[in-house]
Amino acid sequence: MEDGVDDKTQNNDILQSTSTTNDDRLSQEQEDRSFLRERFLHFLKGIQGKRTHFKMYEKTEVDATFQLSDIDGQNFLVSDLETPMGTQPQAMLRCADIISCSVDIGTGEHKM
Amino acid sequence: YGRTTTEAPAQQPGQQRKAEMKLLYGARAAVIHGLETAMQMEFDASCDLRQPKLWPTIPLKL
Amino acid sequence: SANSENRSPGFWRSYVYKEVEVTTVDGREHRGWVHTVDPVSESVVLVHFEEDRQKTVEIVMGHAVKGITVVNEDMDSHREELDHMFVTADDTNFSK
Repeated sequence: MEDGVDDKTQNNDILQSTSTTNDDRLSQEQEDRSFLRERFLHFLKGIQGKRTHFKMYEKTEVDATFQLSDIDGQNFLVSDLETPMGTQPQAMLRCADIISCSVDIGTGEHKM
Repeated sequence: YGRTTTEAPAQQPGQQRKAEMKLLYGARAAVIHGLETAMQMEFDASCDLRQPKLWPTIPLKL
Repeated sequence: SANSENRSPGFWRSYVYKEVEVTTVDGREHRGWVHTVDPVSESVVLVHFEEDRQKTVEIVMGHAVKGITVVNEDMDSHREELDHMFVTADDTNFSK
C-alpha cells in the first residue's frame, strides 16, 4: 500500500504546483494590467488642458483643448474645438470617430 | 446564469464591480478603482456644467 | 474593438519602453516610444522625443490599430523619461 500513498502524495504535489502556476499567472496578469491601466489613467490626467490635434475618419482633422475622458474610453470632452464651421466652446467627441490624437506636452521638465 | 429576473440579486451592483476589479487588477484594484471613480465623477460633473454638444452631430464612423 | 483576439496584458506590456510603428486603418504609420497601452480600449500611447526636447505624445485609438511592429528593442534608452512623464504630486499622495 506504500506505493498508493506515494502516488497520492505525488498527485497532491502536482495539484499543488499546477495551482501555484495558475495563481502566478493570474497575479502576473493583474500586475501587468494594473501597470498599463494606471499609466493610461495618469496620462489622461496629464494631458488635461492641453491643445490636441485629432485625426478622425473621413479625413477630418480638428484641434481642441483636451479636458476629460470617460473611463470606458467612449467619449472625450474637449473645449475650444475648431471646426470648419467655427469654434465650439464645449464639445464631446466620440472615440469611435477618432483614429489618433497628438498632444504637445512641451519640454521634459515637469512641475511638482 | 440560470437566475431569473424575478429573483433578488445575490449582491449589490457595487460589490460585483468591486469583485470584478479585484480579479482584473489584484493588489492595485482599490487604487485603480479610486482613480477611475474620481475621473468619471469629474467627467460627469463637467458634462453637467459645460453641456457639451456632440461633434460631429452625425458619427463619422457608423 | 477591431481586434477579435483578446490579447493578454503581458502581450501589451512587452511593447512598453520600446520604439514601435503602429499602422492604422487609414493607412497611416505612427512611430514612437510606447508609454503604455490601455488594457481596456487597447489604445496605444506613443511618445515622440524631438531633438529640441519638445515632446509630443500621441494616442492611437485601439479600434483603429491595424498592426504594431517593434523598430527599436532598446528598453533602456527612454525608460526614465517615459516613467516620469505623467507623474504628478497628486499621484504620490495617492499611493500613500
